[in-house]
Amino acid sequence: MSRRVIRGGGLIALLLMLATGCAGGGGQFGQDLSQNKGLAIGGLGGMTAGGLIAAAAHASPAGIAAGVILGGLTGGLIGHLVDNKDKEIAAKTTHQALESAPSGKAVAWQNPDNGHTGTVTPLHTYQTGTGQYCREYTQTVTIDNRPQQSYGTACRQPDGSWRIVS
Amino acid sequence: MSLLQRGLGAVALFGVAMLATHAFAQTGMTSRCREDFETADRNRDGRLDRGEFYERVVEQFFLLDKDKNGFLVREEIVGVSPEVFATADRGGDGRITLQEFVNARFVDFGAADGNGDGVLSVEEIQTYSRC
Repeated sequence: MSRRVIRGGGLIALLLMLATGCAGGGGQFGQDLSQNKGLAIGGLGGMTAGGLIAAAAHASPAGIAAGVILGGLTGGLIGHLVDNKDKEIAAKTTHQALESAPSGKAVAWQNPDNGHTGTVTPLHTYQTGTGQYCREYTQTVTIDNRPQQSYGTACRQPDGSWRIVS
Repeated sequence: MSLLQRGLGAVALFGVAMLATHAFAQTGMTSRCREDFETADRNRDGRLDRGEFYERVVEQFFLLDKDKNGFLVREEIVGVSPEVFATADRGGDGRITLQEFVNARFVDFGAADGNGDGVLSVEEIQTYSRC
């Protein structure tokens, strides 16, 4: 193969990468789509890893001390709850939702003692430059038939807890 | 513009959600797959663009990463052969980073995009994933 052909191929590959890299969301993944021969075997396949767009099945969150869970999630609506059991249940549910619920799926809680209820719904998941997972979420709390809603972002800490960052 | 395209455009004016629902009904997509599609299709236009797909892939990575250490190892990706895993693991260190996962998934995106228009339709996803 002549050097000119190689240069031409490299230029096309570069143009393809430039054209597609940013569209991937964030532009940090400049995949080489010029390798068309590898399309069928280069990916993870439609039937694997939970399908092309499927939310993966996930185990329940590993055991973690209630105090650790509560510590990072006392902001937002949970921080305004007066009842301590409400706080504990809401914080555990928030931890569970952030840890394992697919975005868009609401995880509900209820305090059987007073009938107070709430939901936590992850909305968006991302990884920071340091590899830390963060999730945006919405939270509702209903007390005496009066629902309240808030939005927040929490990031997973090295000890397995989630800390509200906004 | 074909009659079909005009028709779809008119439907879109009255609500893209209805269009998506119609498409699902035509394809016979499973309810689970439909739910996944609707979650991924954030702008509700009945198609997945690269940005929406990217967000979904990051979510997949997060949910697959059981120990949340920021990498996927073989045991965390069920149903992937050693050869496929090795292909995705470009660094060859036995673990797949988010970047490597995204790269592999976008290869799938290209393979699933049958008409090459840069977005995935319901039909293309169903055909590729058989869901």
